[in-house]
Amino acid sequence: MFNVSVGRASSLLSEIIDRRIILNVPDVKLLDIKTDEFHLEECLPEKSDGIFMISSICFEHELQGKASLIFSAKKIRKFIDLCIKNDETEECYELDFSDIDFDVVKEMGNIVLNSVVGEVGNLLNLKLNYTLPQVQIYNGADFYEEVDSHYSHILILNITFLIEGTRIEGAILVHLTLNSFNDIIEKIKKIKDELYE
Amino acid sequence: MLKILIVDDSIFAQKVTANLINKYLNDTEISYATDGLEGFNKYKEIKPDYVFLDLLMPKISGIELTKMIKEYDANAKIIILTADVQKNVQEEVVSHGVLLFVNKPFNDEKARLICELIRSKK
Repeated sequence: MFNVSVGRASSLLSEIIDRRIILNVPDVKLLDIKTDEFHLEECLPEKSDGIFMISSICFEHELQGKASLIFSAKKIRKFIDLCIKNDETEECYELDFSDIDFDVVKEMGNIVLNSVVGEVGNLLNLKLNYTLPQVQIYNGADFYEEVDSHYSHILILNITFLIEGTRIEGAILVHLTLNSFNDIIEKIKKIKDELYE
Repeated sequence: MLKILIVDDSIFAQKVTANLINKYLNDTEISYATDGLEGFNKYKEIKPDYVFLDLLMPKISGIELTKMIKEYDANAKIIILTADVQKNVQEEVVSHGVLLFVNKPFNDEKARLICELIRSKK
């Protein structure tokens, strides 16, 4: 299910930056917030300095949750430059982002997260309404503290974009309420039963 | 002069859309709005030939704005540009009489096809 949706997101990103993107097969983990320990730093394959730029949208209606596209802040500059077709910037580790940078990441996050979550909705025949996307800089602990307590599970998709030789690691987190998690499991079970009837 | 209104809360998306339209259409006058309410006011003020409209926006959503514009001007030519890939959303929006429903990102190929369509309707 997530291979399909992440694959589509990858193809959309290729369209945006007009370069070939190789995306690894997502490694999907499911955590129970009550019992499993979660550190945002561990979502990204590369050791990060703990500062992240996170683009998020919440969804509601037939599923309730929050999807977040996470990049290490020091890597996001390259991604932004690729999006706005600026080939001249050097590697830059400053955490000084303009309104335009935030707008670019918000729009990219909106496209990627809509693709991932929307395709899951299409596959399971569930309708979703989205809130406006948001972009913020977090350190890992702040993000964890802000996560709404009514979510019970986190789906973690580790993704690595290889954009013409540039390796940009990111992750997609999907927080789900217990009801929504159970609804997804129930829907998948129903689809499986229908397939093998 | 072809009057085009782009309604999108992302300035980046506005610029991408405008640049691609200008690449394939000559003699355009492009106006912008960053939310649904501003979009409706600009529509009444400018009476554009075509509206490029995002769905997820502050104040008034793209679906609501589509309904408002269509109520105001049944002949309005609205092209939806959205990141929303849900089939049921597309069906709902199309039922309100939009000209096209296009998924973001807006790219060269999509722009070329849409602009060809616009030219053919002149």
